[in-house]
Amino acid sequence: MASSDHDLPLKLKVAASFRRMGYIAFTEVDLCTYTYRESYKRKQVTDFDVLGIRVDPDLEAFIAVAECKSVEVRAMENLLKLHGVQEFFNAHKAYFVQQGIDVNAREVGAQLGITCLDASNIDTLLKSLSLSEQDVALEGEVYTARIGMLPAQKKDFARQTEYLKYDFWTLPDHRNIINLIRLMGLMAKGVNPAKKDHVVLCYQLATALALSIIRMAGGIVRHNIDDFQESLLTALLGGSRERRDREVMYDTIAQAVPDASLSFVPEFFEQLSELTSRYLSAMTYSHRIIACLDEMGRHIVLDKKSKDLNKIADHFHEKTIKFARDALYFSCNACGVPKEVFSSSLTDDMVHPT
Amino acid sequence: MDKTTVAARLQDINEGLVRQSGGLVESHYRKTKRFGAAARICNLIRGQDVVSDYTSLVAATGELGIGADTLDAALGILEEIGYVSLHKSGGDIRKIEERIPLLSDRFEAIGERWQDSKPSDIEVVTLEMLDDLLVAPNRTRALCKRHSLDSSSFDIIRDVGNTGEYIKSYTSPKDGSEIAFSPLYHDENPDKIIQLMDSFPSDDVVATLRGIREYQGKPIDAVTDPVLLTAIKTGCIPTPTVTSTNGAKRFMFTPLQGVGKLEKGLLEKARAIVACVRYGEHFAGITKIRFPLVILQRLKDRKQIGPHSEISEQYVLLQKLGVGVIQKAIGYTGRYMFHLLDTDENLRSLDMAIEYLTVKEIVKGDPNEAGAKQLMLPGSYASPTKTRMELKSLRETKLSSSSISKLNHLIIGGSSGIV
Repeated sequence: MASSDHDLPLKLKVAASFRRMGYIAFTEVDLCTYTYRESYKRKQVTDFDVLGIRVDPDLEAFIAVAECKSVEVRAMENLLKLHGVQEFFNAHKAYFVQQGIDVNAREVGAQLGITCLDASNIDTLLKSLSLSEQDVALEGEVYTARIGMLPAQKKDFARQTEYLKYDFWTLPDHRNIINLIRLMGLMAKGVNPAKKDHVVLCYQLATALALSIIRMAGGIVRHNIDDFQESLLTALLGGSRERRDREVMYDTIAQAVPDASLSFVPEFFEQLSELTSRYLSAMTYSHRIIACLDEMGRHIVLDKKSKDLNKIADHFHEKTIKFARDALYFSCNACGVPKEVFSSSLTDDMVHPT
Repeated sequence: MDKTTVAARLQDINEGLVRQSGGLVESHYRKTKRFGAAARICNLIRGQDVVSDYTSLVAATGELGIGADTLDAALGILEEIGYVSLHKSGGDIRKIEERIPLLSDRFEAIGERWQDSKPSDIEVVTLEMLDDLLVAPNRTRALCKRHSLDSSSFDIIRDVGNTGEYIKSYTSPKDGSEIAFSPLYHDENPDKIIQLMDSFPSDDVVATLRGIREYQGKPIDAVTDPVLLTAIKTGCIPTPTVTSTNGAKRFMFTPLQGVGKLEKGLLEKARAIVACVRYGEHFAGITKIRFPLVILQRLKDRKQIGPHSEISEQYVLLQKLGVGVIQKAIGYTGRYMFHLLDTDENLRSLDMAIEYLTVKEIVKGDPNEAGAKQLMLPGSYASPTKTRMELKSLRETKLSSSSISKLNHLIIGGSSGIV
C-alpha cells in the first residue's frame, strides 16, 4: 500500500484529526515480518499512512489506522486492503481517505466499520474538529523536519533508526522494552546532546519505550493489578510459559557457566518496577504521558519556533508532566543516555515558556 | 556500619539535632543534621509525585522541627541523589517532583552520600556510639575506650546528645560509674545488661549482642556462645517461644527494648511475627519456609497467608497477641489460613517485623540445598533436571563481560539481531 508524496496533504490532515481526537499520530509506519526463506530477511508486510495510538485511563491502548490516497480510482480495492491490515493489526478504528470514493466502496466501508472520507469530507471533519489550516501546516512542519533528520540519524545510529521504523510496531511490548533499553544503552556513549537529530531520535526511542511500558502496565491491570511485581516480571519475560522457559534456559547456562553473573531478571527490573508502580498508582495522570512525551518531542523537532505548538502545561496536568519526566529519567538511568539530551524537558522552561 | 544503618541512625538523632542551633551543633553536626533531615523528608513526601505547594511542605517539615533553611539544604541533597527535582522561580522553590524509591531501599543512597560527604570525626563516632547504645547501654569509659575517644570529644557528643535527648547518662548507684544510654531505645537503669557486661569483662559484649542483628529471630537451640547463653538465661535478650509440630522453640532478638508502653507492645508483636515464620523456616514438619520475607510481604499485601496444615499451631502466638485469626481454609481438608487483623497497630508491627528481616537479612544454609530440592520435585520438567545432572561433568567456561551482557540480553528475551 505504498503511497507517494501526492498523498501527503491527506496524511497530514488525518494526523491532525487523530491528534485532536486524543491520539498521538505517527505517519508512514512500516509493518515488517522476517522470513527464513533462503536466508534471514526482513520483508515488508504493508504500511499505514497514519497510525494513531490512544491510551485510556485504565491504560488500555487503542489503535487507529488510516490509508490516504490522492487518486479517485480503485477505492474498493484499497478499502478491502485496509480492512485486512486493520484486522491483522487489531486496530479498533480505520479511516479510508481518498480524493474520491464511489458509493459502492462507501457502502462496504460502512458495513466493515471503516470511516470513508473523500477530500471534501475530510475538510468538513477538520472544520468540525476546530482544526485550522495552521494546525495541518504544523503537522507538515513536524513531518518535514523529522524526514529531514532521518539520513543523519541513520548514519550515526542505523540500528536504532531502523528498529523504530521496521520492528517496533510488529514486536510485542515486552520485547520492545528489552530491545529499546538495549538499543539506547548501545547508543548512549555516542549521543551528542548538541546535535538535534540525536536528541530527536532519543525522544522517539524514549517515547516508544514509554508506550511499551504503559501498554504492558495496562496488561497487568487486566491480569492482576494487586500482584504487580510478579505480574510485571512475568509480563516482561513474555508470559508464564515463556518465563518458565527462560528460567530453565538460565538454569542450564548457569550450570555450564557457574558464577558468570547471569540472570533472567533484567538489571533494569527494579527501576522498571518503580516506574510502573508509579504509573499504576495514578492512572488518571499516567495514561496521558505518551501524548505528553510526544508533545515534548515535537517541541524539540521544531526548536520551539512555532507559535502554534501547545504549551505543555496548558494541556497536561503537572503529574502527567512529572510522569513523562520519570520516563525520561528512566531512559537515562537504565540506559545511560546523558541527562543533557532531555534537559529542556526536565526543567519547566519548555512547559512554561516565557 | 552499613549505609542503611547509617541512614537509620541519622533519622534517629535528627529530631534531637534540629531543635538545637548552638555553636556545637553547627560546627560539629552540620552534615548529620542535613542528611538526617533529608531522610525524614523522604518519609514525608515519598509517593507524592508532585509537591506543588512548597509553603505546605515548609509547614509540614516545621512540625517535624526542620526549619526552612535545613529543609532547603536537605532537598538539595535529595536532588543530588536524584530523589527529587526542584523547580525554582526567582530562586525560590516553586514545585518539587519526587522520585524516591517506593519498592526498594530508599535510605542506602542517603547513607552512602553522608559517608561520601566526609562527615567530621565527631559525627562518625556519634552514629557508631548510638548504634552501640541501641544494642545495649554501657559505661561511658567503656564507650570511650571502644571508640578511641578523648574526654573533650566525648563531652561534645554527650552535651549535644543530652540536649537532643538521644544520649543520656546517669551515675550507677552500685559502683558510681557513669552509664550512658539512649532514651530513644532503652529505659533508664538497664541493670541486667550492665551485670552481663560485668560478668564478661574481657569480652566485647556489645559486639556479641549486635551479632544477633545479623539474623534476627535465630533459634536459640544452636547458641553456644557463653555471653549469649548468659544473656538468654538472665533475660537480657527477648526470646519469644513458638510451639508447633516440632515442639516449643525459642528465637532470639537484639535487646532493643523500645520506650513507652505502645512501642514495647509493637516490638513484642513484631518479634512474635518473625519468630513464627522462623519456626516455619527451621522446624516446619511438612514444607519449610524458604523466604520468610516473602511470606511477610504477602501477609502485608493480601492480609492473609495459607492454606497450610501447620498454621493452626504455628501461628497461635500471633492469635493470642491479637495480630490475626486462624481459620479453616475453605475447600481444603485439614488446612488453615491466617488472617491479619489490619489495625494500625498490627500493620505497624508487621512493618517492624519486615524491617527486622530487611535491615540485616542473611539467608543461611547450604547454597546447594535449593538446587538439590529442585531435583526431587515432581512435574513435567524432567528435562532440566536431567540436564542439570549431566551438566555437572561439563567444563566450566569463563565469560567476558561483553559475553555476559549479550547472554543476559538473550536470556530475558531480547532480539538476537541487536546483541
